[in-house]
Amino acid sequence: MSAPDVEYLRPSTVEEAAALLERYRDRAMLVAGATDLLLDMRFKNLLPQCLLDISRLPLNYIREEDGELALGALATIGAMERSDLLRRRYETLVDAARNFGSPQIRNLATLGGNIGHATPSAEMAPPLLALDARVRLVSARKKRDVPLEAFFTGPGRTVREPDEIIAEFRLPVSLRSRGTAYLRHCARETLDIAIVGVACSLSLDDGERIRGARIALGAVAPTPIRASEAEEVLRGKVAEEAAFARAAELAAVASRPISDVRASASYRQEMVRVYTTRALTLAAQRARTGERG
Amino acid sequence: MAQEASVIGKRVPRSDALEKVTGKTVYGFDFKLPGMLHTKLLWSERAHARILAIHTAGAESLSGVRAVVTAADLQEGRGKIRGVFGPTDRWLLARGKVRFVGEPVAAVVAESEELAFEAARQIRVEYDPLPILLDPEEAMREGAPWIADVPIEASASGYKGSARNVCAYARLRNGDVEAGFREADLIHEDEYETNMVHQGYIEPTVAVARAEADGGLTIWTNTQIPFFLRGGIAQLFALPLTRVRVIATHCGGAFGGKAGTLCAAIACLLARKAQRPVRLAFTREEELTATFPRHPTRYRLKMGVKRDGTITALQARCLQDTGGYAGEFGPPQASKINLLMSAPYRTENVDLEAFTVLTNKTDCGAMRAPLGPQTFFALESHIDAVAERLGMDPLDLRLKNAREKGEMHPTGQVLGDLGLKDALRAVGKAIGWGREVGPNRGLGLAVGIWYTGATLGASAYVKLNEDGTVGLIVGGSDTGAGAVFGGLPLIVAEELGVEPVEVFVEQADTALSPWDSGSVSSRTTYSLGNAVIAACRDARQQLLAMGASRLGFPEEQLELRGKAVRVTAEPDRAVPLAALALSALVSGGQVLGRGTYVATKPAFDPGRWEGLAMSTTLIDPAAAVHAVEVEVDPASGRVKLLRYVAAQDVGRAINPVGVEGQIEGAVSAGIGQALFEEIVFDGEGRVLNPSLLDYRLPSAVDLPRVEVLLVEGHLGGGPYGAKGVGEPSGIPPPAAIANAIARATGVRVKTLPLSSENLWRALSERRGP
Amino acid sequence: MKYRVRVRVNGEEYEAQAEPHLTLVTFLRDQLGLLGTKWGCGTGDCGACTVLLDGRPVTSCMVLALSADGREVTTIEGLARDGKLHPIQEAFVEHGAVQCGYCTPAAILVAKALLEETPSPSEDEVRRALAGVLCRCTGYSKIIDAVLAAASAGR
Repeated sequence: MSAPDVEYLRPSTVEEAAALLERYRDRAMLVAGATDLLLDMRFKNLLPQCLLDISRLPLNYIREEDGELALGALATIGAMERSDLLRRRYETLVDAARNFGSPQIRNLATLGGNIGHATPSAEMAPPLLALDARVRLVSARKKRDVPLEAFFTGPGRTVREPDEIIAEFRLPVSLRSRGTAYLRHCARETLDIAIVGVACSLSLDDGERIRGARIALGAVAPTPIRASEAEEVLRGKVAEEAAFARAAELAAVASRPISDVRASASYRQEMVRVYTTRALTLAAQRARTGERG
Repeated sequence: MAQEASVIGKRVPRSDALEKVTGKTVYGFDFKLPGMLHTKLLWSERAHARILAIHTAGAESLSGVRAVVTAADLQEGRGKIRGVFGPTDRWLLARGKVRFVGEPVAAVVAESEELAFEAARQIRVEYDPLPILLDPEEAMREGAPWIADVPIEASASGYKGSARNVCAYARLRNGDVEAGFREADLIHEDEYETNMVHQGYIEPTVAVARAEADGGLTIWTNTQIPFFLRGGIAQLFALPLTRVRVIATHCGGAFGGKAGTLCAAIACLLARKAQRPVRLAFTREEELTATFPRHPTRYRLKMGVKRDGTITALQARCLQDTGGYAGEFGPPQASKINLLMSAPYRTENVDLEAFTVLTNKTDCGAMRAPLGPQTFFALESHIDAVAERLGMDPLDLRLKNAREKGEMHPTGQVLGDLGLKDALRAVGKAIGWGREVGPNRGLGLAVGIWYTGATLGASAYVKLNEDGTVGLIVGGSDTGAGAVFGGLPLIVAEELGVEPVEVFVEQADTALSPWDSGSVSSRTTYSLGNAVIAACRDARQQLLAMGASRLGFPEEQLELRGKAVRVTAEPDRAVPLAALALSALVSGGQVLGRGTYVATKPAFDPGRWEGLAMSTTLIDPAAAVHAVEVEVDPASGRVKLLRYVAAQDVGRAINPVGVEGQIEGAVSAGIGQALFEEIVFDGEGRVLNPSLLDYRLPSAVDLPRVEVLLVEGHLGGGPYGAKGVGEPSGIPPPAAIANAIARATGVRVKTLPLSSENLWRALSERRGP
Repeated sequence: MKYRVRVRVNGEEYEAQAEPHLTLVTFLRDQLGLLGTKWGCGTGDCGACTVLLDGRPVTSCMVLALSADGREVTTIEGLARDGKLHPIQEAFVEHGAVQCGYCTPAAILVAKALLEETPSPSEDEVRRALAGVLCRCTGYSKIIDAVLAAASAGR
């Protein structure tokens, strides 16, 4: 990797960053945790004209405000893993954070970086999808919220314009009767990119009947996706094995996995079914106990 | 030596631990010289192709680039790599054609790493593609292209048949297998396949080479084989041995993968051309693509047994896939397969064949117990399957047939004291063999037999300093295993009556150290240890003679204890070693001890072998017996290891902490091969997972505790009865886990790795559509 | 183009010039001469390059040197005080946790950060903390023993 002159800029406010992005647009690479970026630089020989280091922007927070959960784009995966607030009320995020990469990578990788890089297996995407998250994008000219479902357009591609920064993620505050979970299948306990990732959210009436359901899948389609038909089939049903099994079958059908060095497509599809059942079971348990541990 | 060991068998911290925990150790990767240039290799992107042209002008013209080399820079008549076993079929840099993706074609040195990387990208190679052979059976077929371009001579390979691309063949026969099969009540036949895995050392392979004014070469490198490397470099560059100096640096793990010549030789080629010191470090991607991994294998086994479990016949055919070249470690292993296959279990009637076959994949090399885990995956899976068909307990079946001391191996060698039965019993007891386990759980066990490469010579010098401390100078190098820095100081301490911390070890510098054959084949503590004992006893004799004259007592009444020569019956009558050492400097000269050791090859019957029979005896065979309790998740095929017990027949544990550490490490690599690791190729012969993200070394959350049982008492010829320790426990894990899975699920997976997808597929097939 | 970076390493201030794409591991090793931080893969997968950044373990091959500006880095060289070993270093020596030693600096730093946050960790917690330091020599058992021993010695 040889160096034509690369500029390095480190803004301290979001406004400064937005102004710089407006000038450089896609000649600038955003650097926060830098984890995926450094791999691209090394293997794909991508050196930008400008490295825009946004790691010092005041976007590192996890808090509830205005009836929503606000996750700053610079919240590290490690901070999410350690957050009491998330563990109590948004367990699916902690489940995903706990086994993300290695502990060292968790201390570097940011939520905005993971979602912004938009790989099909972006580990934090299924939990955010299951929580109805919105992405708040900021540029010099405007602010806009995009539902996460509409954010990904293809592998590594999103609706983010070159002059926009992901500033934060917003999700509706958790309901008492809701339980969420994230399970993944991979060879090693951590470190691996997931072969399949499933996030679920279940809201129950009287601990019994499913009022609302979300099922989101990672690593089994060109982007992280919601399994809407599987969600539909759960509405109004009693939260038990038969319903979960039916939903899991539909989730498997919704997935369009590929075969690669990590797993074959047919195995992935079957693992969607297996892990959706398990994630729904876990989410229901958590919804019932109300105890988040 | 004192009547009973004072320090052997004690748990003593190794002498290099302090510098390692403070980050002061200079590993090969850390070594720097002023003015050093940085290298980037250009590797072949094709698995099989003729090289039409290599255009280096673009690279050479870049500012800061100091030299570019290709095969054209190799000396006339030289340029083939020479390894531990002599000349090989492989050019240092590809000449005329490339035979696997990752074969080095050119190399560049420049003022910085970045420049070197950029320059390598500017080199253009024109290839004319040839048909690619990725499967050994395909490669053997009639009409298959010759990967070596010409048919391989039978005189080189030992193979006289008509199959193509066989670069070595060995057959071991004894008794009459046909009669044995007729005698059998049950015949079981099956096939097994094992994966290509990498040594996985965390420190990359590195060499720093400097061309000296008189044309000589000095090389600092993290090598396992300093002296063989010296010889290989000397031969390549037509230099006398004294003009090649190899200095072994500290090494961040080797496991057989740093026993080659390639890295240092290319560094030397560049150093001579650029006339500047050169550093070559392989990138992790290069390590996982193109450096000497473990041979993948395919076995067909046929075993005949009587109803009572007696084995009446064993027939086996193995294809050892050696990649694009026979290389430094291919052909010698063919006979090893047959030797190992017939080691643990008694039978007169064997017919064992092994074919070493070329394919257009990575040139395979030596990895911790080469061909060990492969051979025993097949054999130990097979014997478990036989036990099942007989309705016999697998532990009992093994105990019934297990060889013991004094029995004759089919090679005609009378075996030494093998602790196989004791190890089997110890493991059975420790794991609670035969107990009930829960649903989806199973207990499995497996055996491995290994040996020590003690016919490779060792030597050592000991010198007594004037303060009573001892300098130990050896030609061995510590790859991290601890033989040199953990074991040898204890031996010196024991022999000379000093504390281990008073022994300072200097490892291989071929200009200064006496010969050692290298950290290979579990031989360092054994062979080098014996040489050290000899050197110490030489020094001891001198010290006792001096002490006798000082104390006025005859030598027989004296001993070395507590840093002094003492009268055994009156220990307070003593003269300190320091005093003797000091006085020696002015009269008679420094107390110096020298010792050498080489084992005699056991007698065997060459008439039982055909073909290229290079590994024909087992010196001090050592058994490793492991048992594991697994839990399988049938829906996903995921396997959890609940308990793991490893017994190893060690003879005598010199430093138990070090021995346990070696066993635990060997088990971890074996579990990696069993469950997580595989180098995967696409249809064009390219490695799909050349990174540590997708080449999955097990982490701390993936491995169980290992309950280590040191089985002592079946003595070997090593120091105080020790046997070779580093490799045996790398052998049983894949078979032990496969056997446990078979008992947990009723399904036997006969291909490694036992990944969750492979197991799920096997379970699904059994379940039916 | 180079930029100024001021970083506190093992309690000492360093000021240097670095190109934007220079990684922290290369900066520490080549510019500051601190070779105790090791290189194993360059892609954040093996953990050998682990340092503590503001007290938290990170793989320094995945951090830009310029990103460390104004921050605190601890490397293995910063542990022993006045020639006296840190209890974790002692425990590693005593328990046979060091074989080739290449992963040792990383394992020790990870253990230090763990014990500062969780003074009495369970074996599971120790394993989870060590998950990002790959070791090929030991199978981890004696490393875990050493960390647990250092934890009890600290109580």
